[in-house]
Amino acid sequence: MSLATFDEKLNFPVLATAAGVPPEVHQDDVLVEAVLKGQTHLFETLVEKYFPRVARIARHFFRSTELTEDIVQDTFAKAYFSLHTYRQGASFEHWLARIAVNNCYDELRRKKKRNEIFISDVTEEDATWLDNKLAQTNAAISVTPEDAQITDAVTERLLGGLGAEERVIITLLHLQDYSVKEIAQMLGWSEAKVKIRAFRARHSLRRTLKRLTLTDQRIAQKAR
Amino acid sequence: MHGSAHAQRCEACGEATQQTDLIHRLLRQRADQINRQKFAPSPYFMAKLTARLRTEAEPYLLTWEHAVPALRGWMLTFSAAAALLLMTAAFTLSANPAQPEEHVFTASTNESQQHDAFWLED
Repeated sequence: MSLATFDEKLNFPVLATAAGVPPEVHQDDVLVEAVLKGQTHLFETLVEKYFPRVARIARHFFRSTELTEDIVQDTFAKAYFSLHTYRQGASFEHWLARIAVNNCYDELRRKKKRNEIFISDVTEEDATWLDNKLAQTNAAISVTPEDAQITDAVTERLLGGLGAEERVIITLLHLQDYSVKEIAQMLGWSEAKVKIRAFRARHSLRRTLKRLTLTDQRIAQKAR
Repeated sequence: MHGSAHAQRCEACGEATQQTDLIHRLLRQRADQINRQKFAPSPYFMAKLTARLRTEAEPYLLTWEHAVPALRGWMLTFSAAAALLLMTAAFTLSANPAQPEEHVFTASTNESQQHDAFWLED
């Protein structure tokens, strides 16, 4: 949506940009203020603008399209009802991302409680692929886009073996490239806790990978 | 590098390094794959969200969190009105202390005496 349409929709003069506040943040602040003043239809503009960002966050956590859309909907609903807690001048995008990440974390915990995440046995094809990769010398390990289907399945199994806390850390650190400090702020944890969970998560991933390759050996034994 | 030299010599560390490297590459590929995707709301998304916001907004307004401040306003008004009434009453009473009502029994006493006398006369 263009900025001109933005202003037309607002129906009131756009405030002068405060010193040090990026124009993007300022536009969001004006929209938030307008929604809080009763022009609730303007929330739609914020949804349209940030849908891809929120959907991408959810997608990093969950493969299911339906679940992703549910998380996105939930995030915007929570944002709408807690809009009064948004601090003007801060980044609306970061504020929203924080809600989205916490939503995903809650869903991961719920899924873990219901035992919906489990590691199924790898297929023979996946296990052979893993074994071949690990048999390569360190410098030669390459994951090509052609392997996409297998790598996706293996990655899902690796992440599925993590606890909710470990998974949220690995996803934010290695899939979304957030810093330890940013993650600590998002989840309300200390930086030390984030580092410890990241260390445990990496260890856990290696253990799962080992288990997957051991399964491969078991399959090979069965075949014999 | 000391680390990589050690990893080449030590079998356990070499294996761990190799596993870590593979895990990183797998995660990187997944991230790239998702980052390449385009995300746009489905045609029904906005309608569903709007309906949800409308539905959730109704009970939200009836929750204690919202009801108490509203009630608090009414309670304040009633308390103020009650206090004002009490003060007015107290002021009125102190300014004009109530006089005990004097009952005049004369007429009725006379009447009863006359009544008795009438019967006595008989």
